[in-house]
Amino acid sequence: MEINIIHADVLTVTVKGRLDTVTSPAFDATIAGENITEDKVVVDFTDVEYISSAGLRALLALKRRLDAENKSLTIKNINAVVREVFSVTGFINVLTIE
Amino acid sequence: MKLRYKLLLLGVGLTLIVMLSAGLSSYYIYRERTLDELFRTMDKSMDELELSIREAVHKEELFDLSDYVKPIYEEEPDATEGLTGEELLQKCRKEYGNLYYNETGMIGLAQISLRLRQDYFALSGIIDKSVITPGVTNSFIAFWDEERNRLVYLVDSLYGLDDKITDVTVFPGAFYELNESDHPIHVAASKYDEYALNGKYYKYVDIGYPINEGTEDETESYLATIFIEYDIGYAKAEIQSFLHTELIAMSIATVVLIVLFELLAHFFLVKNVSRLNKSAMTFTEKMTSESDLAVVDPKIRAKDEIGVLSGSFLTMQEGIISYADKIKADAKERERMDAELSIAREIQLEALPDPRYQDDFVRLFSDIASAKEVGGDFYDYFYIDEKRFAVVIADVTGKGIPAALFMMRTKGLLKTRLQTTRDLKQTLFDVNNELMENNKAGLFVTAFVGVVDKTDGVMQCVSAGHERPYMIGDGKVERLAVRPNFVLGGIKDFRFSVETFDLTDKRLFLFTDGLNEAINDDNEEFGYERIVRSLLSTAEASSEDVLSGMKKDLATFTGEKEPFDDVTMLLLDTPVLRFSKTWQDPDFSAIDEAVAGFNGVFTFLDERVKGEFDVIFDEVMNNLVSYEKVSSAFFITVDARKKGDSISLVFRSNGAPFDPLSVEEKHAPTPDGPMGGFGITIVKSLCNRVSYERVDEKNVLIIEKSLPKS
Repeated sequence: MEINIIHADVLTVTVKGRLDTVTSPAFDATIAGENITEDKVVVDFTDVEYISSAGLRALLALKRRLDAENKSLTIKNINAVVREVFSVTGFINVLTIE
Repeated sequence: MKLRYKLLLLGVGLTLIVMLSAGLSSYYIYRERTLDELFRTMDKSMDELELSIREAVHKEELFDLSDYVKPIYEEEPDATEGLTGEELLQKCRKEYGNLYYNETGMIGLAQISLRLRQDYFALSGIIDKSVITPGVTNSFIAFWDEERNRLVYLVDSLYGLDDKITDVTVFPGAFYELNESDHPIHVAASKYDEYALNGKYYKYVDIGYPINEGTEDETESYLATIFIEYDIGYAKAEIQSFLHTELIAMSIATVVLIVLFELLAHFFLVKNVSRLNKSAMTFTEKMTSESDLAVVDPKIRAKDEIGVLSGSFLTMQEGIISYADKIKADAKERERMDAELSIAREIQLEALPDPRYQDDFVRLFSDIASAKEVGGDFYDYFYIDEKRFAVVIADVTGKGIPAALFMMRTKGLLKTRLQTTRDLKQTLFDVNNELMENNKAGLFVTAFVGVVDKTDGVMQCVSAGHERPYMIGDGKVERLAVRPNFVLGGIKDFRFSVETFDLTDKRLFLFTDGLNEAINDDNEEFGYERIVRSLLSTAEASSEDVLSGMKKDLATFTGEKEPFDDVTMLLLDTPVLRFSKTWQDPDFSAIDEAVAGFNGVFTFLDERVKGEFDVIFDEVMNNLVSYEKVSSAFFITVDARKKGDSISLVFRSNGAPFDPLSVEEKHAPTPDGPMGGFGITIVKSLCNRVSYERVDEKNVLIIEKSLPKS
């Protein structure tokens, strides 16, 4: 998995690969170490193949942190598998998905 | 026997016959002539003798003598009874000698009258004269005593041939007793009558004296008979000497003739026959040796039958040479054909793919045992595309080159068509029509074509008049219930029906009728029952053993018997795709290994399905490693296999009993509280069925996920 973070008006996080048991800790660590000054965070899932509950957990941790800072989180360009996981776990109702 | 000896024998025989007949005839002619001469001489002397004696009789000399002798003879006629032959003569000579002669011989005559004595000497003189004639040895005058059948001597010759008085002279009155057989003497015998007495030959003539002379009743009364003894030996000696000379001449002539015959026979016959024989032998030698044949002329110029035979022999040789040339050419041609046939056979077999093939999906074993000739059986297998594997087994009618060519054509057509159209029904339709074209020989093919989809293990197949294969699975053997279609190359535009069978957990045994129709020494067919029995015996064995078992059973059945048809068999094993692995004391890296391994086996899954499986692996294995693992003895086993349209994943682990399904599903994240607990929800949503069981102290989680229809 690769994570790319671009600071601008919006903080854009581009994830490449899978977001699963093995890779999620790295995602967690990278995001946690990041000083988020922007009001809005966009996670680009264009190159995310799939996400497991470990990934969901990482996304939820991010969501809670941003919620606490009154910042918004948007996930964009999810594929079918990710959408299915989001919908079955109710994440689709919690996250802002573009 | 050699011809030469036969001819020699013939020559000898013929010459002997000719010589013998010539000798005999000339001998007889000569003998007749010699005897004739003798008799003529004797007759002449007889004539003279008779004349003289008749004259004497007229002078009554004989009459007187007879008159004198007869009474004395009559006086004691039986004094000599019981005596015969020489004894009689001796006795007579003694008695009558005493009568007429004194002790010294002639003196006795003095006792008779002078006249009578003169008569006697006159007569004996006459008789003696006759003896001078060559061949005549003795003469005498005797009368025949008819009553006693005796010859009574009157006058015998006094002198021998040496003009001396002989001591064998028989005296008057002496008689000779005649046998019944020597009885030809009779009155009025002809002077040329012959008479044999005591081994001596006589001519005799009766002499009578006239009665009633000068009157009308003039006749002669019997007085005596004149005998002239002649020596046939005289003539015989002459004839003998002639015979000697003749024999010598004849022998020489015979030898000369035989030699001549032999030489001629050799020149005209034996020599030519030998030549003929020699040339025949030479020709035969040439024939048996490798050298080029050429006519061997016996060089016989004769115009006879042997010459004709020689001509025929030459013609025959020419015939043989041309025939031998033809045979040689034929043999060469046959050799060439044989070589080509075996090359054709090689090419044919080389055209077949390897007898065994194996990849991730297919395990295939085949065997083709061809009969002596180039046969028409073939098998083939190939991928139509990434997912579909095609297998073909077929049997062309007939044998030899036509069948082989037709086979190659069929094989090529089936493969290219199937790979081009990727449609079984269309392929068979096209191939059938193509085979119908330019098929004057009327050949056709029975074939079974199966296309197995490796994503679901389902086989589409068509049986074009071919033996239905057997399906082996779960320890059972059953005939594939495929509908029989017409043969390939039979009817134009025939529409073949394609049927579908699930080969999951099954193996398919394909064969040609050479197998079930193989016969043993008792002309029994191998038959379907034996096939089934063999397949049952190896139902649990490896695919390779199924085939080798069948081959062994067939060989045991047929024994030494040469197969008359190709026997082709093929075992197709398309095992369910399976991924299985165990991790001892795993950490999270086992999840990546499992996903990679699974994807390596189930390559045909599309990206989305692959992703879903990845998630499932991730969720389940994450849970296992996170919650069940308490020591290094912990292990996880994953067994993934395709079953029909779905894939099942079985996870076994030896942690404490735990049923993940008992955990309440979580369908929405909460703003606070635990963030996990979504795993089982996700797994359930991604598969069709999840079940848990505790078996053998292990947690077993079974997940089944249907595959989307492509």
